[in-house]
Amino acid sequence: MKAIILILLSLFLSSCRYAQDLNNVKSLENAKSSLINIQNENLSFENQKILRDYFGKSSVLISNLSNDSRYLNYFHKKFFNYYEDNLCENVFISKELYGSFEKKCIVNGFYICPEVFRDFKEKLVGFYQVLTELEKKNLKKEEACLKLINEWGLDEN
Amino acid sequence: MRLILFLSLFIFSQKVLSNEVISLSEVSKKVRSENYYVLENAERVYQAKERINFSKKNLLPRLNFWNVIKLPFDWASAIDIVQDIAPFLVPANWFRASQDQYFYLAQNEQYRALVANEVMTAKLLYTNTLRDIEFLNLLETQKNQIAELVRIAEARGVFGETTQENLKFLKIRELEVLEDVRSLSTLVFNEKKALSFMMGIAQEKDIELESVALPKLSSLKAMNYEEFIFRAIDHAPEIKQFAHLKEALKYTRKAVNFSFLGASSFSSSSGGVFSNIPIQDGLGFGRSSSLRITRSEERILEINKNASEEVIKQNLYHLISNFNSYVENSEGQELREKLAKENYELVRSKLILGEPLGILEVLTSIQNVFDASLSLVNYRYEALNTIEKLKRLLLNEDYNDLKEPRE
Repeated sequence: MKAIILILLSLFLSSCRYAQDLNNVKSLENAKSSLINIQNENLSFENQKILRDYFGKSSVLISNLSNDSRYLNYFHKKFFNYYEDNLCENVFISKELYGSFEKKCIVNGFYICPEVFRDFKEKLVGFYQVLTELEKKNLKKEEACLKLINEWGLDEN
Repeated sequence: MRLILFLSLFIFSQKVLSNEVISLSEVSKKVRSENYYVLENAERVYQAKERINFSKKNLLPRLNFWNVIKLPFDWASAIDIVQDIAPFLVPANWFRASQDQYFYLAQNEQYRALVANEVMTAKLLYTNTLRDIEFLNLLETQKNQIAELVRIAEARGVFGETTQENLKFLKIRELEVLEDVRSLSTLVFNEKKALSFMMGIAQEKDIELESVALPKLSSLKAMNYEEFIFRAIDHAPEIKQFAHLKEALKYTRKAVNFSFLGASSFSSSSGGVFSNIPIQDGLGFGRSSSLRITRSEERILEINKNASEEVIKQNLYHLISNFNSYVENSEGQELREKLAKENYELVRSKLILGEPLGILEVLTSIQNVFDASLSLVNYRYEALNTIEKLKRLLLNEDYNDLKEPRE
């Protein structure tokens, strides 16, 4: 009996952690709008912090999904609870926006951007691959999501 | 049988004594796979990783024969063997297992920093050796120029056009240059041996270095510190290790809090990082002091992290100001060499035509060509070295993919 209670308690606590993590998706909205604000500026120290904020957060979220099978199961279970119609528009970035920063990342032959920025496409492809067909279909229903999927060539991988 | 022995000895000696041609791009690969310090450190990272498994598996019951046979005589000692039959009941053992993961991550960062430093040192040694070989070539040219001047001066001396003092002075200079050639040759030899050691190549082997493309100073652009500092700090393994050590320290604090349930019997993999934090084994009055020491330890980590950040900033300022100074001086250096060479050609043709010209004036012209050429070569190599140091600081190219040594 005690063992069952312990297992249930640990499952409950871990699902709380996952719920907290998924709520962080919301925080990407602010990070994205900060990115848009600096897209025409130079990559100063402060601007690079903004860059790392968005790409760092999204990278952690995606890595957790790829590396933790229990987290992934929780994500699939709760996908439609967390899914909002304007999710892609608010959270994900276009390839054009990414490209505008990518050009500034090489200065005098040196790569100056955070490493999480460089790995972003690879992570995005990884994220798309862990989605179920139903989830992908649901995403494609939204025009903004479909545009991003095509831009990034996620279906090609 | 003798023939086979002789042949194998011959093949072995050929293999050991033959020359090996090395390119700059091979240096990084060789240092990573053959350097003695790198290999040693890779083993330490491997041990830290294995230590995680050891700590996890140690949470399972184990059988200590001597403790078990104590039981029939002294049943009170059953409590003592909790650490043996149910080590997972002691919270400190769980903390040690979790802490070991962070020590492993910190060790991995230290490994990355060590490899990056070894690769950079080897690459700089490679370019410095090439620079000294170029200096040697310039000295050889100067030696030939002075030898030619000595011959002309001796011929003129027959007609009384050159004084004995000047002739002797020239010969002294010729001997000085010869001595410089010998010293520099020895230096190049020693540099090659040091480089062989860094790449794990047997000392008996001679190595030849392929030349590298030097940056054209006039095509370089000045750099801005502001653009580089973020990556230098954000990506530095020297800084990242502190984040892992801080996480590891949290588990020591937990172990202090739960010390009334006993201290961990597992040995630590930290190599003595937090060994100065006393943890009492059981309920006692030392807990609050232990907690204060952990907080002080956290402050030390923060101080060290700040110090490392400042060192990185200092290095970056130093490198960028040096680089920008090379860019600013580049035009002047190239012009200086051009003028010195033109001046020597003019003086030389006058000398050959027998025009009245002081021997010491010619010697000064030769020295000017040597100084200007030396300075330009030095500038080019310094720019190359500065670029290499910047790559190390920003963990670019060869320094970026410093992954875990053993999977």
